[in-house]
Amino acid sequence: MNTYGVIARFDTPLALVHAAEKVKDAGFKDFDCHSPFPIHGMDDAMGLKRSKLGYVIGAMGLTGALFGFGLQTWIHSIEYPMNISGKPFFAYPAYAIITFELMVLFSAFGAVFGMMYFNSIPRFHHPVFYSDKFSRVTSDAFYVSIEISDPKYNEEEVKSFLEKIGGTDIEVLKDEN
Amino acid sequence: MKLDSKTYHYSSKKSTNFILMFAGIALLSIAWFAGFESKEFYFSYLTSFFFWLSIILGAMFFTFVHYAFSATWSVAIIRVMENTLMLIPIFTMLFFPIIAGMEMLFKWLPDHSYWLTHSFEADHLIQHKLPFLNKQFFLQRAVAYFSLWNVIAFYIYFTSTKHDTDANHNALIKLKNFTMSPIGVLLFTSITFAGLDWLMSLDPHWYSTMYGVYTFAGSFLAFLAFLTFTLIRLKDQGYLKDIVSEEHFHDLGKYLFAFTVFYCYIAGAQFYFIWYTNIPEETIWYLHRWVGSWKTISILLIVGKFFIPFFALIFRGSKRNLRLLQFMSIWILFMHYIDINFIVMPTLHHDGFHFGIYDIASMLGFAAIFIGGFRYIMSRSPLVPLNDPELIHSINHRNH
Repeated sequence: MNTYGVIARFDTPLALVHAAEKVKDAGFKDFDCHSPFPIHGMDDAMGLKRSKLGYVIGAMGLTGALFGFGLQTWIHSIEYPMNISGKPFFAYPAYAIITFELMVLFSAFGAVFGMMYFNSIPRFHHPVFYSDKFSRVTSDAFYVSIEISDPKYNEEEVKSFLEKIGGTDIEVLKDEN
Repeated sequence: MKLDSKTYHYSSKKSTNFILMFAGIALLSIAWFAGFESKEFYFSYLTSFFFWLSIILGAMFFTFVHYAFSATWSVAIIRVMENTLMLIPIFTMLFFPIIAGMEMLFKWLPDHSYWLTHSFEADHLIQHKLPFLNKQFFLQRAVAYFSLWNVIAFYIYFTSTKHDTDANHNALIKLKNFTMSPIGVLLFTSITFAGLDWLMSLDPHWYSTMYGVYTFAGSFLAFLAFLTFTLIRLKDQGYLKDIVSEEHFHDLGKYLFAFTVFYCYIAGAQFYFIWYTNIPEETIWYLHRWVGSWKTISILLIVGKFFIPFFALIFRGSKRNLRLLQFMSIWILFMHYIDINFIVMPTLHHDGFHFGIYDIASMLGFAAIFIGGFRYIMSRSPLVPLNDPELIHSINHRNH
């Protein structure tokens, strides 16, 4: 039987936010909060940093724009120059639209795949699902989980700590074998 | 929550403001007197007039959006917009020199000097447009725009300021109904046609179907820059403390960024269509702006009105940095002036960009009138709608 961490249930979104603040202040790093819906102010309560995704999207957008412009320049003025209604071969105003489109496309790729990378998606299983009661998190329960990878993790201490800050149904996550 | 009344009562000396306004009017009158017979004056006057008027039109649009959607975040800054609206009566008066100089400005009038050497009757395009572009209809339209704008300004301003004293929340419903009524459609139509009448018809052979939205995009961007600048200035002077916060400036920064992109999109679309189709009477407009120093101005517009604000405002940090935002709002207003100059002036100076004494005089004159009038109107009522039930939410507004 391997241990993966401890979970505790809270009754209201507000209690979850306060619990998150206390867990953060106690110095835990590898913890997470689970709720049926997004809660405003949770990022601050958990001490999450601002997402780096924007920079990924920005870099991808810029790459896409340069790629689009470069591609058209190469095709129309180097590889296959063609006279289109008497316009110059390097007709850069005409390139703006494809440049823009490729910028949008690359940014969208950056956004989707960057988000998946940062969230470790796809992921088909997570230790919290070893708890049977945890399925309530999709309807009316709010959970905090502290994982074993946390440097401050000590099973007994974590259990009593979660109880102290108002958690109920405290459970240690263990697999079946 | 109790607000300190000192932070929302703007105090400025009435005498200073009136002196400023009279100085502005005097400067414009002297310039008019000196340049009564000169085309130069009327073109400079039209440039400055439209520059300042577009700020008021942008304010009108923002006020409409605010009330029509019952916006919450902008409640704390709505009064500054409403104060801008009340400059419309002064600008109605300031339109008269343009009527007086019509023969100098508009080529489609048979009395214009261009027709001394060309045949008016033989110009098929002008003849075709005569039902729309004639003196009588032009003046009727001007009267219609200004009456509409005055009605809008007076109704919104007085309904909203009355709400401060009698606390009757029906005022908000009235304003919502007013802004959601067909008057909103009329406002857009009037902005579009004002752009066509006063700017596009300077070159009556040329036309662009993007022109109305181009006028609107420029106006709204200029107003956003003006609003941001004013609010930062008010905060520096100690007003609106604890009312307008970094969060509001963050949103204004987003607006500035978004409408920089929107302006570029519209201006770009107008250019691409014309460049692509390559029809002589359409491309001539851009050709006039691609000779001599106008070419420098065209490139300056692309770089200065799009690339610089775009890369300066794209970061979250820069939208929350008031000094940078203040600099960018001045920069955007400056670029808006260049933009209006780029639209109006090539009709007069074919060879290149000129910045003469009439440009300086009319710009300073209008600035004095606008700032004096604006400071006076601001001191007349509280800087925030005190009885708006959403005010508290607007003060506590946060970006996520």
